[in-house]
Amino acid sequence: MLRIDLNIVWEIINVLILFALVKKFLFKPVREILKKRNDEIEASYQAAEKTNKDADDLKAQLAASASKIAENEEKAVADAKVKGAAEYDRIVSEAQSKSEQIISEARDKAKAVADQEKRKAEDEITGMVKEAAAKIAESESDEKLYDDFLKEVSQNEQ
Amino acid sequence: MKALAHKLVEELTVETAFTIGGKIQIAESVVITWVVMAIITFLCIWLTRNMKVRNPGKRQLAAEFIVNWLDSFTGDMLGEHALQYREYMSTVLLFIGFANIIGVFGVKPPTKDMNVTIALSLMSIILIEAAGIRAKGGKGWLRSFTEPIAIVTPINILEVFIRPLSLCMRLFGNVLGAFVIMELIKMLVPVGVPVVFSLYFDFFDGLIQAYVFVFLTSLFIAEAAEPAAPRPKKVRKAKKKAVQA
Repeated sequence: MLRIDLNIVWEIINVLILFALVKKFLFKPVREILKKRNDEIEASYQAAEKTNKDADDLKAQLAASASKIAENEEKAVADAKVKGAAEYDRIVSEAQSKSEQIISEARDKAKAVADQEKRKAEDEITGMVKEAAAKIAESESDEKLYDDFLKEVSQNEQ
Repeated sequence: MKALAHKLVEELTVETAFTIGGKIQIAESVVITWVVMAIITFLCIWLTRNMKVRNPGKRQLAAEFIVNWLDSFTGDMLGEHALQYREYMSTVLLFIGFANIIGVFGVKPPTKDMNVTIALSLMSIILIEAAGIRAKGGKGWLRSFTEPIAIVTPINILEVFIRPLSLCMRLFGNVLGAFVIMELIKMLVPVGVPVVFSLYFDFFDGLIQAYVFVFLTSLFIAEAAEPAAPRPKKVRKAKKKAVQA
């Protein structure tokens, strides 16, 4: 009934073979898959973290550039104001100087015209005086002379 | 009655399945072990076929569950220092479990043959002592026989033989006893009743015995694989120094 023989050895070999088979066909593939899955999860976590970090960086960058843009805008406006003021001043001063020039020119012209008129009047008066003198010399009486002179003057004035 | 006894004895003997070269007799139990091996291997291959990292199928989930369960089951018993023996213990658990259950199909369970249980317990004691040597080193392993005190050394040495003997006999006795009772029941009431008893003797007791074998072996390995404790003499000296200081 009891039997102890060389079959112990065969049984040990059997169990060792079974151990190798189970290890190869059950533990190894399942462990590999589990490890792969863990690696993948780890990798996706890292990727998500990296994406978050990138987004944060981008956000900070955008905020910085936005503030820079605002700054530039302000600067540009201020510049434009300064420039505009300068231009305004220049134009005004130019206009002023031009108007002054025009005024002085006009004044000069007026003066010249007046001078001319004056001279003309003088010439006329001289001519008239000369004429009067000649007439006086010609005329017989002073009374007639006066009358003539006065007549002539009144005619001229009209 | 005589016929019954004769039949029972026939059932209990381990027959030779075939002979190689007229000398080497291959026992029935070894052949049934091959069948058990084939079943386990087939199941493993079937479960782990087409495994995917994403969206695992039901089969893969089952395979992952089984591996995780075996790992935690044997890992808990082995402890943190002996985790590398998990796979062997899982294999033994699967083998003894399937070997005991196979009696349901009317086959003589291989664990009913003492050759099988001797083989398993020999492997267990070799693994236990090897784990001790690996964890403590040759000297540490030898010293572990004198612990906790020198006077228990003979008992510790005896344990090297008692442990595999008890493992072997427990498994053999339980399975043989269950087998004998099942054969008797089958002879007395061939219909209906054996099913109920088979649930207990083949499934429940078979799995319990697989568990007990693995549990005890794991426990011994865990004990052997514990890192060597500091030598008591040194401890005493250190204490003395501390007191003097």
